[in-house]
Amino acid sequence: MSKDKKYWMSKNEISADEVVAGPADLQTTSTDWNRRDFLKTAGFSLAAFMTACSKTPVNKAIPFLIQPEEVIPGKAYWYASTSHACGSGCGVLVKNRDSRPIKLEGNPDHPVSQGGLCPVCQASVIELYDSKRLFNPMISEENVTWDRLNTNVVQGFRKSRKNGQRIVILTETITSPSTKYYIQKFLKKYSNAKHIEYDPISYSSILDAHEVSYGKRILPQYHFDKADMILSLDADFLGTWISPTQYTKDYRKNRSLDADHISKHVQIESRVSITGAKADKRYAKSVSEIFQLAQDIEHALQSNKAHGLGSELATELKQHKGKSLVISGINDLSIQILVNRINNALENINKTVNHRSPSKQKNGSDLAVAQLLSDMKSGQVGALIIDGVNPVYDLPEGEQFSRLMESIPITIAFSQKETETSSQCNTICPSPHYLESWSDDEFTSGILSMTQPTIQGLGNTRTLRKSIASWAGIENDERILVRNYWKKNYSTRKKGSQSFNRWWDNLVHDGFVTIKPFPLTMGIFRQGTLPKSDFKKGLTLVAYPSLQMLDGRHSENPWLQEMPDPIMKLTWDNVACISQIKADELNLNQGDIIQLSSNNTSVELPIYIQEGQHNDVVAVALGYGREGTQRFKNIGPDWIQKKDTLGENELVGERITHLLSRQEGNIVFSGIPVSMTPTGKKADLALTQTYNTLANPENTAPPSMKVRPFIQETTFDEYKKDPSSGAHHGHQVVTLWKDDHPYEKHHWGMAIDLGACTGCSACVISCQVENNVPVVGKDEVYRRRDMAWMRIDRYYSGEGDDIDVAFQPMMCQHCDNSPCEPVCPVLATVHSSEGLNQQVYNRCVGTRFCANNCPYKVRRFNWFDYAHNDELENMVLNPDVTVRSRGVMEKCSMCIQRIQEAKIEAKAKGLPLADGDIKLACQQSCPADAITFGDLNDPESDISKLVEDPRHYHVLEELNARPTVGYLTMVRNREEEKGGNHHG
Amino acid sequence: MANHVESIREPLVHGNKNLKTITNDVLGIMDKKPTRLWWIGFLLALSALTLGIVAVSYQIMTGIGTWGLNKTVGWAFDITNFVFWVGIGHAGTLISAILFLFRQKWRTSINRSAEAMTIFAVMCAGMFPIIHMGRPWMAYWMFPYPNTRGPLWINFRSPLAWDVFAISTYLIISAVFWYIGMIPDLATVRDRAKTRVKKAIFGFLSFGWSGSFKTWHRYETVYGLLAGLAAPLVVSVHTIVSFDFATSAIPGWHTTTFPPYFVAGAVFSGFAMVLTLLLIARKTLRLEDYITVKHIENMTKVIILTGGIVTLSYATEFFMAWYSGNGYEQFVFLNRAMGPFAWAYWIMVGCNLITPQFFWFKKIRTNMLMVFILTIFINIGMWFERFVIIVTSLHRDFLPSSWAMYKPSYVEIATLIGSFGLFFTLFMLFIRYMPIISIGEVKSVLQFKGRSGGKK
Repeated sequence: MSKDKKYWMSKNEISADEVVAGPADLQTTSTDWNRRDFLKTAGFSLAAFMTACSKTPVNKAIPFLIQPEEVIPGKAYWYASTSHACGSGCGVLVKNRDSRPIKLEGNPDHPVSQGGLCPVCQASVIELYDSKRLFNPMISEENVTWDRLNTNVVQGFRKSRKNGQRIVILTETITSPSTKYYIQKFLKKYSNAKHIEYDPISYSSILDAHEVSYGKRILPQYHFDKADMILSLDADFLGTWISPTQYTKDYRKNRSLDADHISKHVQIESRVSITGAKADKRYAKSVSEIFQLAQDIEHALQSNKAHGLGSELATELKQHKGKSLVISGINDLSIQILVNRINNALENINKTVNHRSPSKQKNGSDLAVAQLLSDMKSGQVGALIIDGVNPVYDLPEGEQFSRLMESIPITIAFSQKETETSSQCNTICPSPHYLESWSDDEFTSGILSMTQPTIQGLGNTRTLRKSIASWAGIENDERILVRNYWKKNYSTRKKGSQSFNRWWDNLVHDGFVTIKPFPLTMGIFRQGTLPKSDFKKGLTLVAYPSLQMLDGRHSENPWLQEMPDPIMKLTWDNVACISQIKADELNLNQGDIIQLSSNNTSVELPIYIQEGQHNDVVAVALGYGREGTQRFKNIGPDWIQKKDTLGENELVGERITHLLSRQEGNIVFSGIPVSMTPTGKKADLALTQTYNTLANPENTAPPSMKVRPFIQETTFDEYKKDPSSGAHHGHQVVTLWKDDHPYEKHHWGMAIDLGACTGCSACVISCQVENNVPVVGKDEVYRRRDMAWMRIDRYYSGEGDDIDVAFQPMMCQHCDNSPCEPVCPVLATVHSSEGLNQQVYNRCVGTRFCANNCPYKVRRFNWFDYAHNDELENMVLNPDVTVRSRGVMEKCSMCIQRIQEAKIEAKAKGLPLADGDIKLACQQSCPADAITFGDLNDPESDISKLVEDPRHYHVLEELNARPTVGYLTMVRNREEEKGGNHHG
Repeated sequence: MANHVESIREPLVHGNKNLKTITNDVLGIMDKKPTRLWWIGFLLALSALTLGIVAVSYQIMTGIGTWGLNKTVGWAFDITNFVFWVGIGHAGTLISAILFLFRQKWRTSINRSAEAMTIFAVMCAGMFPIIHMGRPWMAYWMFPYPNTRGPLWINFRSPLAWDVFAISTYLIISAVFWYIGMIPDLATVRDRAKTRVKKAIFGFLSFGWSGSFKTWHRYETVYGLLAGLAAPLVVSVHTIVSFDFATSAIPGWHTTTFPPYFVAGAVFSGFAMVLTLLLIARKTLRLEDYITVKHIENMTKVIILTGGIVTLSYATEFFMAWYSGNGYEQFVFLNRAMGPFAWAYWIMVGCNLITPQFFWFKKIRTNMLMVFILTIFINIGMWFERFVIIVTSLHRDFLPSSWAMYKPSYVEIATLIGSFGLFFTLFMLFIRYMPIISIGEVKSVLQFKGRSGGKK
């Protein structure tokens, strides 16, 4: 990827932003646009832009009077930048076409994300083109100029200073050193000001626990690559916990099957997460049991006196002293202190738990927000500046917060969109999307990531940095603000002897730089006393961030709403997950709506029966029921039997944060006692998969095939004895027919490592973005008509709460003997000379025979004309891929546009295509590097080697469709295979 | 001699008919004002057709999404209806062509309406492959015609392309055969016509038929040739339709027994439909003398035979699934009998296996009401047979992740009703405006006093 790709240093360098029309021109919501209308508008906007230029001080927009040498129409150029969508700070490469970013890919050189990118970051590009964004500064719902706003705000600040009231800046964790710097400037200017950070998905107790144990409030850096034994107590570190992409990359490093040993991962969890699905051993435990277990382990480590699972785990951990890692995702101080004690006893500190260069991804304090609430109650707050958080929604005390805000004279919201909180604020400062702004971030101590604008700002937006600086009396351009800070502070910390200008240019070009971290002195380990923790037995709520919604800040992203949850396969909803036994006990069926009550409040949610979940747990995803999701009312095709995407509350899903409580100031996300009462109502759950195992239903299972052999699995020990263990190969089918397709030049193939795949669904979103896959809405998904070209099949095996979960990414298998090809009457699906099965959209008449005949059911039919009406949103479409019309079939093309591009590039250079020149969208995004693509005709290619690997097998090999997509057996590091539980 | 024959062979036409009364009986229907019963039937059929037209127009304007199909079940009502209607047609061709070649004289009073039924059924059937397309306005791409796109030909390997040939051939041959057979009767209508207009129309339609020996001679040669051409279609059309499934890779479809199984099923369902229609026509148009109990009995016997073949096919499928040792195949059949669509399967078994067994009893065979009810059951059963084959095979195929259910939408149900509307509207118009019984042929089997009818 990085070999020949040229990253642009900055927007200014190429000045290609004039063709982007402003949102005012494009916000039209008219439904039918044809090419002419589009051209007219585009032409008009361009003309208006060039002649008027009055919107923003456009001092760098120069039309292509002289074509810049580097910019070739139709050819993408790339910027290195940083993603701010999920808070872990992955380095991205932004693909720009005709001056608009259309796709984000992980920056392979970036030390945090190492080339992977989570689905949330992948999907965040569409939010840039959201026509419902806030585009203008507002005071009391009236558009104003920034100058007027600033005057107004500064007056307000003065007044509150006069009244002896506080100015509070309430933000999420600020990772940008320059922003921190300008906030400090502001705090200096207004001595009554205070900065409070909190994270909606709180890690507060980890930080607090480190303060207790080591005297410093830090979030350590966890090194999964250095751990031979990982014990995770309800931490979904491959899915949502702190920095999942980085952890997945690291986790994979210690699981190379060539090594003598691989890490062993034990997951203790109450619900079912993708991390639990990947674990070598998974135990379902309720939160109180996990607390007990943590105590047992600690005891066992110190006195060898404990018994049961705790001592077993302790013994195993002890064997890996200094090479083990214990983490917990439960936001509880006692558990986190126990975790610190265990890690300390295991001598993991500064080996797998790094205190020297800690993570700066999360720094929030729940306690500080609780303090703020009481300050607000006593009327001490005179001005409130809110950025990046949505306390009215996020906090358990949201309603109270909202009421208290009314009495604050000046409330300022920095936001991209209207939120529950911003609608309570009297001053609105529209924030830019991170793809149109400057920023610098230190997510990990010593690694600085650069964010640069990749498009001219679509609205009249400003960052918190710029406004705070200007309120502190420093007026400057966004870029200059960042650069000046750097010049001042990093000139001395930079490595090497380059001049600052040069160094800065390289930094912007690369997207990141490593600097000398400030030395951090931690206190000596203190045992500390455990605060009294009170974990109730009985039915308890576990509120967790789902992979797609996290804390809900992306709830208006249609791609994420329609991304199936990797475990539940649910879209467009949050549900109350309970175990089968609990459901039977309460006589509930899937889809029955229950009322979940706690803390004198309640919420109505549909039941989802989750295999493998602890019986006393109700797991509910956070991030749903956000205001603003009303916009999805009309999503999806309209026809007589269409049902609404929104629930009774006219929102997508239900907010549950008001059910949460606090313990020692920290917000309790799991283990809250709840009660459930049936309401008698029912809901349709939009699931993309409804049959959950590979075992045939009992009453229709033929004796010869109880379980279908699509997931082939072995243990690490077995694998070491016999690398082909677990992979059952059918007999080679001999054919008398001459080969139809000789594949003289290339023969593309793919292999997917089931052992690596974590089910994180980054590939699913990447494919959707790359290939213009439409969003169809909840009802269509419910009718099993989702359009995803790439899906992740999820199968359970085992019983009760002791289950294994397997993921199988499934897309067109590009069979050499494709069953779909001969049945098409009009030759709309044909075989390429390079082994691809190609769909010719404009020849397709839509008989659907190909889809019926596909054994893998990967073909997708355009049942309707899917909406592409939002002009602004259409800017995200990939111009290299046709937008399909109604009535035609579509499916994975193996990113033919990428293959062609690489071929043309190689040809232009006169070089043969090298292995790895082509990276498919799914492959590129995969944080686990589970997908390999290449030329089967090249014996030296990675793919050819994998095809020869004893682990390699094809799904449904016996049909002789000869798929070119193969799978590698799943290898778990456990003693023996569970009898009868394995997948076949 | 004559008396001897008479005593053995029951006359094919009852009621002491002579040449004149036959002409009057048959063409009298066309002269009289339509009865109230006809109007009720016609308007009912027309309403159903209108509903169908609305549904299909809506579907074509909005998209196939207005049907209950999904990514797993790509065909359901559409192709079920298609196969059902094609099957219905087969009885007509069998009666008019094969029974003609075997010189079965009893066919004469029913062949005209049976053939008409064939044509209407094929018209209904032909509608479905077109409207089931995602882009029906491109339906002409299914034909191999020289074009400016390369030329780009169709895929001759696709069974759907074979269908296009099979169905269009079938429609053309059936229509020609039916029409040629009708020419002498059309001439009779022309000769009896009282108004100029009617005379002119039927004069044109009868192609200047003179009734001369030479004309009759030529006519019979052509008719015989066409019968010869049509006869193989009885077997070939449904064989090719069955290839739509048999050549696929889906368990439950991928079966070599499909061609005979489908042909037998087609004749089975076709005869049931002929009986349903003729029992109505016989009653309402008072044609008991022409369509006698003997006709009905003969047709029920064909149903017993073809029903037996169908039963055997069902059994063979299960046997082969077991015998193949193929888990996917075995699963599909267990899933049919015991899965989520078991209700459809058992409706099919109940209607197609048990119903025909009643026809072993002469008492039931000769009870017209019973026969009528039983044929309705067979019609339902044979519709469900196609539904079961298509939907149960698709809804749970190889990968359990894709398993899905299917539920028809209102539009699909309306389209099915509409296809019945089209069929009955055409049939009602036919029995009103065309000679419903082949006058010329019936006359040839008439037994005059003291003479045997139709020597053989």
